[in-house]
Amino acid sequence: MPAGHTAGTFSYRNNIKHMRRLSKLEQTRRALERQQAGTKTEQQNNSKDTQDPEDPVLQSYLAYVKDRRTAAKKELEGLELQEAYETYLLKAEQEKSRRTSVNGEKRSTRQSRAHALKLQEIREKRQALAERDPDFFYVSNEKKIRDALHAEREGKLVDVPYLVRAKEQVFASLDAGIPVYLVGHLGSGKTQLAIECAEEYMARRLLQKELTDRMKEYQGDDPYAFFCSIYPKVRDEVKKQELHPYFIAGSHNLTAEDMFFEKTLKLSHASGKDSDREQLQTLIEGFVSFARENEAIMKDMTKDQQLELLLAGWKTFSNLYIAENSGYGTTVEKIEKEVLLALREGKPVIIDEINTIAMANLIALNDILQHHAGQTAYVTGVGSITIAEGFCLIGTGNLSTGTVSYEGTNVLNPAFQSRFTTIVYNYVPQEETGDLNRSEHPERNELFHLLLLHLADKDGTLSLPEPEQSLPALWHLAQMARVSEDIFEGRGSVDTKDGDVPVLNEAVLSVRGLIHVLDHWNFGEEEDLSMALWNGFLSSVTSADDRNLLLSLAVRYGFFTDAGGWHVEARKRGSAPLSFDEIRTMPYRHHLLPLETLSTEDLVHLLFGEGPKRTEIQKDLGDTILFDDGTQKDLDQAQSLDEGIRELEQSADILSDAVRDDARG
Amino acid sequence: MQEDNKEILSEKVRDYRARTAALRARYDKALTTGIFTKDLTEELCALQKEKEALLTECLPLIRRRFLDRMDRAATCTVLVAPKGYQGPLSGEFSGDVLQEAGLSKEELSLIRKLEDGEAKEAELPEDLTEALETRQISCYLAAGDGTFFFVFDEEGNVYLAEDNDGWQVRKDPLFTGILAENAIRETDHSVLVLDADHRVLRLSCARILTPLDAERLPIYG
Repeated sequence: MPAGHTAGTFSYRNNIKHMRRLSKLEQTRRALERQQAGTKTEQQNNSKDTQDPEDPVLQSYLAYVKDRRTAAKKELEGLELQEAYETYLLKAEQEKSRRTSVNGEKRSTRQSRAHALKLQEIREKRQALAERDPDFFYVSNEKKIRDALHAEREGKLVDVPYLVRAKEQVFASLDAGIPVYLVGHLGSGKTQLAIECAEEYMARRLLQKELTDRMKEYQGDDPYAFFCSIYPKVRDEVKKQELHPYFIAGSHNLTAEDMFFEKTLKLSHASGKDSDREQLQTLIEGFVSFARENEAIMKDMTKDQQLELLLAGWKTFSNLYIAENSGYGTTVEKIEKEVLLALREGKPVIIDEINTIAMANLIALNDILQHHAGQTAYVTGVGSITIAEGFCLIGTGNLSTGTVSYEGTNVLNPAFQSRFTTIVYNYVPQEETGDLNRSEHPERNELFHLLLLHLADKDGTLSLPEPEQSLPALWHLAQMARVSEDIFEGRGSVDTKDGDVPVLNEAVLSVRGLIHVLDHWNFGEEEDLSMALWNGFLSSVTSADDRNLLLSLAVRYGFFTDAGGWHVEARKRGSAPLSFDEIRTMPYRHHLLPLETLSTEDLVHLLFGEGPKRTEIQKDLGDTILFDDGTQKDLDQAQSLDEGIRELEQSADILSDAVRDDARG
Repeated sequence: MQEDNKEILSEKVRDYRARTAALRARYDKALTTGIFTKDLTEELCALQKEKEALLTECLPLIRRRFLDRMDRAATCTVLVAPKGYQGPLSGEFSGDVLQEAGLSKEELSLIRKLEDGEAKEAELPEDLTEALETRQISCYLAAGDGTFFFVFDEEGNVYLAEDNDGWQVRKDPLFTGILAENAIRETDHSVLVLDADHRVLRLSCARILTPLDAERLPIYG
């Protein structure tokens, strides 16, 4: 190498043409993951447009990504622990302020604000990392998927953002000692939400208590380290607890007494040899005890007088005993019911369909609703009762609107309802227009997410028949469901051909209905989505207008196509419902398509978008990998710039030589 | 070139070099993000203009550096020769008449001047004459335009002399065995010569006349 030149000048650097494009490496990496995920299905190895798996640069890159993800996972776990710690401290501080406040409500203090600020910082950091670091983006969203799949397996609701926001509203109200009234339309999941909120509320309280007890034992000078060592175990122990709230199913003939106690006749003894002997024994013991107590009086009597007294006493005693326990002894007993039990034990109670209960009976709850834990409330027929810590009340009710009326429900008395925090919980959000590949905010398509998570395997992969077709179809199914929900809620924006505003009176494709449809579809094993939509939902819609409208909607979203052997004609309101024979134009024959498995990474990107681009690479690959966005234009621009700069560098050498030679003379 | 000017030029070249290195660094960084912003292209354009300007200004110095090193691609082409000449020809004398086929108007015009003896012998600048004397080159004929000359000596050697901020004479002759009777400048890198065998020859060589010529130079060797 000539003097004056160092490595890295244009002659010695990697020509851009020989650099590996990052987009290609990523493509190969994802294809390999998909291959690995697809070993359990009939998936073929599609190696089109990917690089040789044995390529050392690729292997290096794969190892780099693996290490980065391990590090990101640790970082996520660290942030979660920090968040748990600050939450614990905040709640402890709030509880302290509540106990010392005048009205029993928590007050903001300097310490609680410091913890709240810290929590905010941790959450912002987490958000910023997910926006900046592609590996953190992946691990944090992959965890959300795993948690969602776990919830699915447990029969719980999946934590989509809409649900999480609703839960936070519920907890905020319950923490403030205010009961919650969840209202919404059918199939939205209100009851399940109420149950899960109540269980989680109990779990949070138990977790806080357990952590407080254990932290009290610690005497060292690094409480955070101690917290980190105990938290996972305590959390897991609490999860294993069977924590169930009390539950009352509301109805129009439910009375106040049904909620607090019921009176019942209890048979104290049943007929039988042993019970007869027991009764006689009790009688004799009672009489002997009576005689002993009066021994002093009988001492001054003669033996005849004593005998006469004892006989008379026995006769009277046994008559009284028999009278009291007539018919083998039935007693009136009060059995405490759910609300009373919840009050005494400090547990949540859910009153489902609360607005079906007559107002005259609901009023019995008034005094309880306006007092907090630790305070005394008066219950008719029971008296004063101290509300135990941990008691809370959640009511649910269907929301009648102009278009939908739920029979048997009442409008709650405003004064009664004002004692609650009313939270409207309806259908999860979903974009209603546009297609899957051009969604600007994929994270907002929560209904589509629910469908995919319902279909996903427990390991986080997703097997679908021909995903290029299935995914758009599922997307359209979610869109169709959302539009039907809008119409049902009275927010219909879809005009019919006649210009009428569409109305659905009874039927709506809610999440419940969608699950039925998907279960019928069963990954296209015996029927396609159109047939599954018919069998799993539309065929059971009894309202003619509803069925006809829903069929039109389905056609609008690409189902029941003519090419698929269907023909759905639009029908006016008041017409007869379309039957299967009327919409099916030829015998149904199903074509079974092979399943392809999408990897967990594919699922992350489907649900949450592509995430941030990779902007760093390990040093030893730095000169080998070209960061591109996968387009040729990008590469051309980079190449053009590179060539231009090379020419400048060459000229710089010529000029430097010229002036240097001249200086030497 | 005076000392002050040399210093200024060196400073400009250093600055240009530093800016080029900085642009390279910014480009490398952009490679890591895949984002190539407009200012990179703008700086590239600005430096390209600077490069042109510097190369133009440094041409004499560059020529000075490459005068003796570079293969000058010296070429001798026989344009016109008497009948019986076996080599490639553009024109042909037939008796005393110059056959015009294959010759351009400009070439013809110059050849006629050579023939007619109208080509005037170039007047060499004084310092070139001194340089020739120092080299002990006995010049009897020269053709050029004041920035360069082909200098003919009595042994048949033809030397290239250039004004590269001071006259320089290439150490080795470009051509040998050329006994010229007359010579006339044709272009900034070629002359037409009427030799003793009554042939018209074009003598040409590669010269570094533009920044583009300078850019094409090899750096090493």
